Amino acid sequence: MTEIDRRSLLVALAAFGLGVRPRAAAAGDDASRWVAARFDRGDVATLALFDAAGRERAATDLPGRAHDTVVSPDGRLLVVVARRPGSFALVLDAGTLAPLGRLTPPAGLHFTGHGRFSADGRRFFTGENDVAADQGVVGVHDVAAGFARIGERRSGGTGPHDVALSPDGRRLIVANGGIGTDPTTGRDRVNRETMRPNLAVLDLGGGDPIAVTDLGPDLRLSSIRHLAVAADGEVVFGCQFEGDAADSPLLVGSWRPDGAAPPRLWEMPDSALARLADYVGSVALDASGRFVAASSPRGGSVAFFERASGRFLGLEAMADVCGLAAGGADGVFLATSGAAGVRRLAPGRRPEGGGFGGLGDHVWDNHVTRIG
Amino acid sequence: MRRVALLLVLLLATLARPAAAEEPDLRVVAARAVDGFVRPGYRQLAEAAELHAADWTALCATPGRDGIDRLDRSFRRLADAWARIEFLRYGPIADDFRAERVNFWPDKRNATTRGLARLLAPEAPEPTVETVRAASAAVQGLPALERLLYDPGAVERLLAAKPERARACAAGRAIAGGLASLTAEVSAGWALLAEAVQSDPAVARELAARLTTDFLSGFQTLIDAKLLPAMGKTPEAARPEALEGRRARRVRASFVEPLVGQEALAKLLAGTGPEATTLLATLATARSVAEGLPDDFAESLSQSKRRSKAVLLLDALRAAQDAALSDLPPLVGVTVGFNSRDGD
Repeated sequence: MTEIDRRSLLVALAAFGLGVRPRAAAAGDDASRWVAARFDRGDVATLALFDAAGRERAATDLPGRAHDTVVSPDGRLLVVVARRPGSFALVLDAGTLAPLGRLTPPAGLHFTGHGRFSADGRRFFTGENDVAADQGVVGVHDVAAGFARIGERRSGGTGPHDVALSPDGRRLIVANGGIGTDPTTGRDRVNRETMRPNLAVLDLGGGDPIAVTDLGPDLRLSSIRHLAVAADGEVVFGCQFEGDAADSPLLVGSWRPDGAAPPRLWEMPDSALARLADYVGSVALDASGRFVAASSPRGGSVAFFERASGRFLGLEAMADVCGLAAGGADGVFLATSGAAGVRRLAPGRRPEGGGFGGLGDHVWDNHVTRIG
Repeated sequence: MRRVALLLVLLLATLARPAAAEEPDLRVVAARAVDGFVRPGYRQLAEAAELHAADWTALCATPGRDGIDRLDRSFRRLADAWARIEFLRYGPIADDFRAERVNFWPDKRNATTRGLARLLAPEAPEPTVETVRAASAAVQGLPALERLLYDPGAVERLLAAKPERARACAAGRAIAGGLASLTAEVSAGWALLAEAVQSDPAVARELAARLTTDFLSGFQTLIDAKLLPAMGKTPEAARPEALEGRRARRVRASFVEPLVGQEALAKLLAGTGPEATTLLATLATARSVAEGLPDDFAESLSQSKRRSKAVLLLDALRAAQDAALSDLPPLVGVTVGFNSRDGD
């Protein structure tokens, strides 16, 4: 049976209720939970917690569209950050989604949609834009003091987006996308002439960035926006290209902040690269850290790679897909979409535990996060 | 008894209403688009591919001017059939890079010319469906066939009594044969998917959203991939060689046929009621402007006095795109491009 026959058959079987059912028995899946923001018809913004069988365990209203959700190291707290230009981040109980507190950026600053806890869970860092100065900032919050703002740092570039923590817990890695902010809208003001995205490493002890790298002058229109950090410290990143469509560069790559080598971009066949439509919306590692998934909502595709070699492993189509997180089992990812619900995806195969039927009624926003 | 029956009917109607208000609409819309546009479109493509493959086999057996004329006609029919549905990216056409294998375009690195040279090299084995399938996607579809038929000297090569003739003919036969199988698989794949659309609201919803998204992306292809790179910012910067279908002199069709397809799909997705008037009118205008493009449209791009045709087409395409972006999703009842259009 060819790939397409098998796939179409699965779709057809699922349609008749005969297909693969979500199985909580899928190895390692039982206790997994995921949390993601959604924005349904009627402009209803909510955050939902669901389990490996696709059951919604909790949901809570949000003041507006949210972007990413961050889980504390002990798994007890969540912070859901507003979409750019963000004016709120909510602290919630990770089990019940009961609201516990709210962060508001100081006047003149906006949240960029991402944040990160320190390894000991005592600090919470937010990616921020100083709109007037068009300067990237990382806000520092004291968790024990009700997430009170206790300081801020330069992010090391313009237009920071994602923020990640090194495995030793001592450094923050910031994806400075290089794109300016329009003070009137708080959204992008693409500055092609001066754009200079980078990856900056900040020592949590303080001071200027201890390392800043970029993709070189030829790729200065590739905005580095999303990050995933492996247990060995390697940073995987995904880009959005702001140049002419005829130039389509590679979009996914990796960098070792502790090494001397510059970031490397992972090769893809032209036909597969075209499916990413110059835009990666999210990158994620699987539970083993061996595999990487990169989503393109514009191309309606998820690309898979082997991290060690950077080898391209294949593509899966999913309309408007953006959110990605590790699935339960090794090599499996969970993907969310504004048009096609929630699915498990795996490079080159159809993973067990198939669909998440009822979750498909929702319009899922950019990111999904695995809890435990 | 009659009263009981009436109560029963009322009760059933009440029970049925909430479900009816939620899902069947999208199922109906999706089924209408699949049965009225998508499946007939792929069926016509598969038929055209089969006919074109047969014409290559005939020419290889009996070279002659008649055979070339038949190939010319069946190639145009095949390319038109593809162009009418080229914007669809959902379903079986998305698997195994089928869309790219049918039409590897735009070809930024000239992969088709390079791949075809390898296929036609005297030392290479005679091209077969299998060797073509193993080669780059760039030599498996329409751009490769277009070169074999319309490049300067191509016809002479296909008619000459030389070894190159057999090799070029075998390449055409293999590529067209592969296309015939591929398009037949896509057509068959849709039969299964169509059943799922009927029975599964989730599939219907994704399909309706995806058809709408693909429809909207069609304008991006026409504007950003087909027209603007060829126009350039000034007549001096025009790059007529960047136009699709330039070799076969079917540049006009490369704009007209997708718009014909989009118009047909729009009527099925949005209906033809008063709320769809603007969308359908702007689409009809764009199509008619495209139909009015001169035969030497490529050459006109470099002439400042005649570039107005291109500017007119650009404006018409943008007007249709704007109308579609604002009107189509609410008419279908879907949210589209939630993540794909908004950015992060």
